[in-house]
This record gives sequence, C-alpha cells and structure tokens, in this order.
Amino acid sequence: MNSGWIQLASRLARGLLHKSMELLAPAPAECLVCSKPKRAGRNRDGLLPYGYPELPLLAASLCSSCLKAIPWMRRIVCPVCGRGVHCDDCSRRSERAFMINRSAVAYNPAMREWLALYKYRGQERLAPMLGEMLLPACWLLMRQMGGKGWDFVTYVPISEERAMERGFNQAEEIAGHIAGKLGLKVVRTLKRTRHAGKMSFKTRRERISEAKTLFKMDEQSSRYIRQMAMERGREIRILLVDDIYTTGSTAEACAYAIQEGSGGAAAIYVATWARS
Amino acid sequence: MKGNVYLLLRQGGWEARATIAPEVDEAYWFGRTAAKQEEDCPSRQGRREESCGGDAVEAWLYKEELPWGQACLAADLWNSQQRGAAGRAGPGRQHPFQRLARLVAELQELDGRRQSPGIAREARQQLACRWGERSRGAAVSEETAGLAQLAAGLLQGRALLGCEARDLLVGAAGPGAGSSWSGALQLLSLLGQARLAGAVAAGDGGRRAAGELRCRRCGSGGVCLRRTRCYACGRMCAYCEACLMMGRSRECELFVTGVYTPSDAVGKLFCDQARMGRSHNISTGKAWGLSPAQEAAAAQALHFIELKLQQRSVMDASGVVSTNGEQPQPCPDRDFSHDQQQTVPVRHLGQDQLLKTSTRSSLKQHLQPHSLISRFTQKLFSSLLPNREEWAHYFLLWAVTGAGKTEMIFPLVETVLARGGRVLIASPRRDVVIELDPRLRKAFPEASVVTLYGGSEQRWERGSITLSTTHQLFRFHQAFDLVVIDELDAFPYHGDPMLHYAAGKCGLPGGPTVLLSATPPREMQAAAKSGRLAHARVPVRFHRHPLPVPRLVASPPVAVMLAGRKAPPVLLKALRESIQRGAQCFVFVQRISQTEGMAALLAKALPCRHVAATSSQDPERAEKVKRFRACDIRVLVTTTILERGVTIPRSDVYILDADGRLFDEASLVQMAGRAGRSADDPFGRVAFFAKERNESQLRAVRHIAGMNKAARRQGYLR
Repeated sequence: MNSGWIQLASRLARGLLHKSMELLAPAPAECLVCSKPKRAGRNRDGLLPYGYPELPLLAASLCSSCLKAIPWMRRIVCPVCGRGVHCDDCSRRSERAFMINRSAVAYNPAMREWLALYKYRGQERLAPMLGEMLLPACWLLMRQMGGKGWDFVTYVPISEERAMERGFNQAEEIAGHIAGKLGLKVVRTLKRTRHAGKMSFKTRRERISEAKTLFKMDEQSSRYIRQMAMERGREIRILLVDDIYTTGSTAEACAYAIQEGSGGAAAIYVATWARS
Repeated sequence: MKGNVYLLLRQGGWEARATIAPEVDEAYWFGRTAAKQEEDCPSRQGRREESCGGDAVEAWLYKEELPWGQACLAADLWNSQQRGAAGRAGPGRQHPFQRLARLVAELQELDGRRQSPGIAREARQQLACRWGERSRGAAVSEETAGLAQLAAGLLQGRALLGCEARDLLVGAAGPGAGSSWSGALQLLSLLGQARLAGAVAAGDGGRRAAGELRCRRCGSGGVCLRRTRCYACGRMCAYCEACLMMGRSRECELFVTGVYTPSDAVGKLFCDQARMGRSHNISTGKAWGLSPAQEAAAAQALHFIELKLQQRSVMDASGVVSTNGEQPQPCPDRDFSHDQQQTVPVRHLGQDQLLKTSTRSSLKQHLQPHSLISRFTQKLFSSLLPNREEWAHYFLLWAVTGAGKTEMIFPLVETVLARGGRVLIASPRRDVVIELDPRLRKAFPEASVVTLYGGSEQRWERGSITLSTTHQLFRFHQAFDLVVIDELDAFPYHGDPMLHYAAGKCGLPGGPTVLLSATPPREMQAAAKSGRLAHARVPVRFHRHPLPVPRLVASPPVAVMLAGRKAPPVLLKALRESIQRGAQCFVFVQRISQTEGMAALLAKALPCRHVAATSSQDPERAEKVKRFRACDIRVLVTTTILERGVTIPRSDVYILDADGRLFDEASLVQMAGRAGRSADDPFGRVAFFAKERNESQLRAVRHIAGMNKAARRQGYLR
C-alpha cells in the first residue's frame, strides 16, 4: 500500500514541477483572448495607456489587434467616478462613503466579451492579464492621492450561491493580482448578506436602495481595521477592487459597510476594471 | 459539487462507492422500497437481481462531504487497495472504515487541506454513520423515482456535465426537479442505467486510479488543464480549457453518461440475413437512384456495416461488452477473419503486410523491458506503424468531389433505421450540417431527424437520425449504432485530437464508423492502400464525366499583381473566356487581406462589373454566396473558406498563388472540385496560376488524373 502512496506523491511532485516549468516558459505563442497566433518582436509602443510602458504581462499575452482594441480610460471628466463624460450620478449624490473611483477601460462590446469569457465561461487563464490591466488605474489613483499608498486591498464579495456556481470570485482574483504587483496584502473584509438577483435587471433607484444592506463586515475585520488605525494614528487607506462600475451603488454599498464596521476609520478608494 | 463515499458489505465482500445523494443509496440498499424501485425500471432484469437490495449486509457512510472528484478517487483507491490486499495475507485487522478514513485524510493532506493526516480515532468515529437494520424506514420518494424514470430515457447515450443534466431534467420535468435531480441520477447509477464520474479525472473516469488527469468529455490532458482555487469544492481544482466553450468541465463537476442499449433487432436481423445469404444491396441501390460507381461503393460499405453490427451483437450476447459503459475488451479479430474474407469484397492484408505486422509485434516484444528509453521508442514505433485493430471498425468511402457522397450513405442509413438502430451523421462544418438537414428529412420522411450545431433548437432531443457538427459530439457517449463522418479531412476536425476523441466515443463499442472524404489525409490513404483500412473508392462523379484536370499556368504572385495594380494577361484572358461562355468564376487567393484588392483589380480590367470578394471575416458571406449562385455576382474572389460545400452549377476555378504555403494537395483538389459539377456543364475549367510548379500542385494534378484513369479503367465514364 505504501508504494502506492509514494507513486501518488511522486505524481504530485511531478505535477508541481510541471507547473513551475510553466511559469518559467516563454510567453504563449497565441493571443489569450482571440487564440490567433501572436507575432513576436512586434513594436507595441503607443498601445499602452498613460505613457506607462511597464505592463509586460499584457503585452506578452495579447496580439496587437486585441491590444489595440482596449478602450483605455484616458480622459477623465468626472473627478469622482473617473468617467470620461459628465456624470449625473456623482453630481446628484452629496454624501459618499468612498473617496474616488478609477477604472481601467470603458465597458464597450469588446470588453463585455472579454469579461464574459472570464466571468461566465470561466476562462480563469485571463485573470492575471485582467489584473494587470487594472494597474494603470491604480497608479493614477495613487497619483491623485498624492503618492500615498494603501494599507491593504479588499474586494467586492459574491454570494455563496454564485460562488458555488462559478467556482471563483472575479473581483477577488483581480484584487489578488493587483495586490501582488503593488506589494500589498489582500484582506477579506466583507460578506454578502443575501443573494440579490442580477443587478442588470434593476432600475437605478432599486439598485441604490437595495445595495445599502447588501454587504456586511464581519467582527474580525472590524477589529483589525480599528486596531490598525489606532496603531498608526491615522485613517486606514483601503483599495476596494471590483470588475465593473455601473452606477457605483455596489462600490458605495461596500464602502458604506466598511465605514460602518470600522467606525469611520477608513478611507476607501475604488479601482474597477471597467466603467460602463 | 460535493459527494460522499460509503463502504458496502455484500456477499462478495466490502466495496467503496461514491454517491451524490447518500439517502438514495441508503434506501436502495436497505430501505423497504427497494423492491418497489425495481419494478419501476423493467429493463436489465438479470443485473438488478444480483446487485440490488437483498444481499447488502451493512454499510458505513463517511459523513463529511468531499469534493466530487475526490470522493470518486477515494472510492477507487480504496477498492484497488482492497483488491490488492485480497491477494496478500489478508486485509489486515483494521476496520474497513478506518482505512477509508485514513485514505481520505491522506488525500486531503496531499491537497494541503489538513495538517495532520492521523486524526484521532474518536474523530473518525464521528465521521462514520452506519446503515443497516435501522435504515429499513428509508425510502426513495415517488418524485425522485419518477424523475429517474424520465431521466433514463432522456440521458440514453448522452455524456453531460452535472449542470447540463440538471438543466435537461428541469427543462423536461419542471422546476420541481431542481431539488431531486441528484437523487434521480444517483438512483439511475445504482440501477446501472447511468454512470457518474468526475468530469476531469485520472485514468478511466476514476475507474482506475492510475494515470494522469484528463477531461472526460474531450479527452484533453496536460497543458489543457489548469488548476485554480475552486469555491465549489474548496480545493485547487483542475478545469479543462480545451472544451471551455461547451460549459466548464472540472474535477469537482459531475459527468453523467447514460447507457444506450441498442435494440436486439439491430444485430440479430443482420445475422439472419447473413445466414440466408440474401443480398439486398442491389435493390437498395436502385431505389436511391445511384450511379453504378456509387452503387458498387455503397454495396461494399453496406457489407462492412452488416458484418460489424453482426459482430457486435455476438459480442453483446457473449457479454464481452459490459453494460455499465466501460470500454469492452477488443474482440479478437481472428474469430471473424475467416467470415470476413468470404463476405467482404474489400482489400485485405497482403503477404508483405503480414510480414510487417509480425515484425512489429516482435519489435514490441523486444522492447518490453521497462526502461524509459525503450518505452519511448516503443511509443514512437507504434505511432509510426498504426496497428491493424486501430482501423478495424472504420470504413473509408473515398469519393471524388461531386461524386454524390450523401446519396451513397442513404442506403446505409436506411438499413440501420429499418432495424430500429440509431444513426449519426457528423460533419465538421456547420453549413454542411444545415444543408444536409432538408435532404435527409426528404429521404427519410418517417424518421425523426435531430440536427445539432451551436445554437440549435433541438439540443436535447433524440431522434433515430442525428445530424451534428463534430463539436456537438462531446455530448454523446456510445449512443449510435452507425456513425458516419463527412469531410473528415476538413478544418477543424482534421488535426484536432479533441474532435477525434469525441467522434471515437460516440459510437457503440465495436460499432461501424464510415468516413467520407474526397481527399483523405495521407496516413489514411496509406492505410487504405495497404489494406489495413477497409475502403471503397468512387473515382467518378455522379454524372459520369471525368473530373476537369487543372492547367498549370505561369504567372506572377498576387502580391506583385496588387503592388503593380496589374493583372497578368493570361489570367484576364482566361476569365474573359469563362464569362463569355456564361460560367461563374471562383478566384482563390491565399490571404484574406488580398481578396478585396484582387476583386477591385479584376473589376477594373474585366468587361463585367459583377466582381465581389468574400472571406471568413466577411459578415455578408452567406449573402454573397447566394448572389453568386444566382449569377448576380460573376466573379468571386475568395480564400479556402469556400473550398468545399459550395456547388455552383456552371463554374470555372482559377487558383492564384497555387504554389503558396496554405494550399496543399487536399486543398487544391477540393478547390478544383468546384468546377464542372453539374450534368449540364460537366467540363468546367480549372487552372493553377503560380510562379513555380511545386510538389503540391503536381500531386493534385496526379490525384485528379489518377481518379479519371481509375474511372475509365472500371468503365464508369460515359
């Protein structure tokens, strides 16, 4: 019987070796999104946003036509939600639980397809790349904060039911990659109190009123934040990550729940992958 | 998805089983309704008696829910350990359940979930739940039993993910089935009518614990699998990227395969007929209006199918094919070889071939020692020399373009249908499937035809004829008496091991598969020529005129034409002549980007204005082909996308850059096959325009000329 176990263990070890080899392997020869063969050594200058050239993973995983198709949020009109056009939602709302939001891309049909491929089809291979796409938005946020960084990263939770069905939380995965790049840790602060129906079927008013009580912070993280605030003697800066910002009600509700739980000891900045 | 493992003591000893609904198992083995359940499913009399209720003595359920893949693995490992231990001194003093608990703990430790594998004895006791005397009251609800009965019919021959099976049952039985579907499936699996496994599992779907992980649905392994953290089962769970577009197959996902039991008549009637020596092929051929060449080939295929179905029914009767969906042992070919040589007029193993086979087997024996290098060479050799059994169930119908392949399969379909069998006709191309649908419905008005492609309405229906794209075959498992694969060398089927796997598992084990092609891949041609692959060649078109042989014309490359904005006079002259004689012109180029430019160039230079370009990227492709067919467009510049499936009555074909990398022999033959397809205009013109004469062009010309020669020799030409 023991020999069987040794075999099983060695198989596992081999698997791990395989995985590590995969990490060392050169960039994939085909585009992660469209699966077309990618040509190496192409000049990709000017395809990346904000004049930041350092998105090596993105450049390595996409072909130039997919890279070109990304509608980066270059122009920011609304200082609150980072939208490229004038924004009624933000001017209407006087009190806000979060500071500002910045999004990486505009949610156009192509981006909708990418997100669907990841979120609904379950192509988890895309997660690191989507995470990296959010990096410029985080840098922008940081610049607007005056160069100060965050204390930790957190994410918008999904319901238990959705988690069982999908197997992963897209916001959590993206947050994980962002945190890795920024050298921060991810803290799970929130949980969803109930399974709300699809947000996209609801009106604006419904979304805002329902979202208020949708999230709750657990005791442990509440204590964690309070203690951290006490130790550092200042408010705790938190980066909240989500995949998409539509009306901002989800971000608002999460930020609200964190503020409630921590007794106002937190400043919440929101980074979302897409702005619709 | 999660599941449980339990140990069951029966007269044969202990065995471990995985379940998705333990309460159903408890009721099945010990409950008082066990006997009643049996009546619900009247089939499979013999099996049920040995397996059901009666002889179960006691059972121990491991109460903790495990990830489904892990539950299956634990049960298999336990069983294989048990088997191993039986051969040795004795299974040891430990209680079987203790061994199970330790096994599970060890598996969890491998996942890094639990720090200490040796959990205390008391803790283990808490995980145990004993079934026995006290379980007498357990019962399967009426609802579950009813749903199981419904599911047995719906799942026949299906291979579905858990979520697909749930959708199917909820769709058929209403939303009430949402809660009892897993119970129903578990009951079916206990009754041997379905098999539940992990969608991504090692070896044979968890039957054997050995081997690397593979996707059960598409057969992919290795780099196609990716491990991620999974909320549904709580571990690092592998999913298959290769068949992601058909729904996600992962380790903790349920994979349901429903057992299809063919009607006894399928094989038996064939036996009787073979015994009586009645040959019905000639009458059938006449009834379908086949030409002599078509008829001869169809007759050969018919004989082959007859033989294979007969063999299978013998195998069934002798119990070689196990009913729970496992692969059968290959039927010893020798038993039938005598029979085969008498009845089937196909080519057979020549002396030299026999010599080769024996060399191979001795080579294999020689390489038996289990060193890494020798195993590698063994693998290499076996891939170089595909063995004879590999092709044993295949029949290649090698018919030239425009030979009328579809008509030839009608008698084959008819003969299987007449005996209550089920037929699958698969093509890699969606357009072909959609085009075949009305033709089949017209030919078999009595039969139920189900047409499957991405987005088809009939997704969950089951008919006696299933018409499907090769991608949809993933959702079938040993479901058809006869499998026909059209255009097997077309993209994406050719060169995609995933689709080959799907096509290989959708027929009943040992059942016949007929392959149709005008340009079979070279290894298949070699197998056919050497006699390893039974085949029939149809070297002539249905109108009995020879195929147009391509002319080789020297011309500059398309890139030069486009750069100089000038088409060579030879091309323009040829096109003008074609237009004058009232023919439609196909102009093939290599690149999508060249189509528009070339069309503009030709439009300027030609007397007629109706020049258009299309490609796979063109949203109006279908519309343009329609206009081309209606003579609204006279010259159509296109890529290999139109190399097959398009039949234009009076057409000429001009292939530019015929020496290009993307045009191989098969592609050139197919494109040339667009010309002269109708009986009104059988002598279409074909020309290869290229700077150089390369091997592909010459081979294509030889291929076409060779077919014409064979047709003439056999007297098929008019």
